[in-house]
Amino acid sequence: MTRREYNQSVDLYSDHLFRFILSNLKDEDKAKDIVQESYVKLWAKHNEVSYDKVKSWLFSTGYRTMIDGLRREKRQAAFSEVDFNAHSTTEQYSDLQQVLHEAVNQLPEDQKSVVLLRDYEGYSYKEIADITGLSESQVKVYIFRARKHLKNYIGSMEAVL
Amino acid sequence: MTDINKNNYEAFFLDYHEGHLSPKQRDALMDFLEQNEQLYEEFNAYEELILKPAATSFDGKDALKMAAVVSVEDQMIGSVEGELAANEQIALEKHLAQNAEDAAEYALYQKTKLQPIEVTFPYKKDLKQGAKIVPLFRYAIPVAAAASLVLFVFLRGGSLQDYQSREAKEWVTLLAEDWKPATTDYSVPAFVYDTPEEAIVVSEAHQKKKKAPRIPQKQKEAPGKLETTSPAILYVDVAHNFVANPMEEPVVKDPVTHPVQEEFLSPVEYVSTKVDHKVNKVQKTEASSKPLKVLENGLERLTGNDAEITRERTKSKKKWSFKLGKFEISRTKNS
Repeated sequence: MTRREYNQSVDLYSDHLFRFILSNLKDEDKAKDIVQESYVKLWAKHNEVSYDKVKSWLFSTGYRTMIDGLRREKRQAAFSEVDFNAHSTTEQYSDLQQVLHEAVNQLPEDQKSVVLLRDYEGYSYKEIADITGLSESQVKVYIFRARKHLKNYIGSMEAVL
Repeated sequence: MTDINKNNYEAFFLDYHEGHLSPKQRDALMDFLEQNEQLYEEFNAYEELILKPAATSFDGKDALKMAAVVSVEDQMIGSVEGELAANEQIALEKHLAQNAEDAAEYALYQKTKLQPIEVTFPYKKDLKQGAKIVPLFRYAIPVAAAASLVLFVFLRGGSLQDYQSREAKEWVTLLAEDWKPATTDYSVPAFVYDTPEEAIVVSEAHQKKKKAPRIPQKQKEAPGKLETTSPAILYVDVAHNFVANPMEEPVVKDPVTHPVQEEFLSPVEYVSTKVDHKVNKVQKTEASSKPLKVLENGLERLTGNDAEITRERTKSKKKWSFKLGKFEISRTKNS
């Protein structure tokens, strides 16, 4: 990967990676650090990483860094602490999406990550498996469980409303 | 396995019927049986000890297959995920058309797809690798020196002090552009003009390689004032040499034996000759002391700010830094 391609990957994928990490961690500083760390690692290996694989390489590196950090710190900030609007260019949530993101926040880490990769980035089960290091069947199971949880959450909220 | 004999023939019989003997061992077994015919009956009995798979079939396969069918809920999730084959999707839709409760569930599942939110990473610039590396060590010192001298003039007096800061910035920019070591044309001392507009005209003419207007004689310094080289000029000269060859030891020329000719003065040098002449005093010992220290002292005297110029070289890297007041530039480069 050339320097130009590397810089292009910054333009193309840093927002996506930041969103993914931020959605998981709910910590802007941590998310920023992980994105920066991922790109530092990418530049260090830019001669080995081909441009067509760079997005999944970044997500894989960012995901592992995030999980390592979570395991070290064993902490999660509250969803309410995140000011998505500070980084947003448009009005973000409809009511349903607000509810849905609250529900996603209740998911276990593994389920949350795979469903975010699936819905935000449109990755296949195989690609998600490559990024997360899970088996393809595990990814499928996590997504199915996550969907059931989200459906139940939405259903309960609609019943209340 | 050892040779067959009366103590181990049972093992051979069993292995024979299970198909574990080699051709050589089978030959040995047959030879053994011919020599011990009374064992044929026992040998044949082993045949019956081997269990054969029953040729029976289970007729409840369909029932089992029904049990393995994916639940409607899983089919609904599969549909949301886009994982269903066309015929499976049609079957599901038929089922939902006949089952309102499942249809309501399916509607909820369809809402579980997250819509990507737009998030912008605000530090892209920091991530990028310098597409164009500015050789700071080459330009930092002359540009900083030029800027500091110009600011000094604006702060300390002269005909330009009435101009607003915007014009001052333009002048600094003009001088900084003009004072690049490789491109400086000393024949165009734009700074002798009294207004920025005039300087811009000269500068533009210079950039277009046109002949610049001649400098009005009345605005030049009186020749008598340049009999000896001012320390400011020396500092600029040292800086110039330092920039051209940063890793070579700069040399400060003796101001008496190496006077700088007026017609070769750069704009910065012109400034330095027009500012307060009190700063033009030079100690004899200064010329022979460490050149970078001389440069620091000169800049400090001219600007009234602390100046520091350092240069380090190790086996692995080279580092230059320039500091003037709060302004600081440094650059590290791998050897």
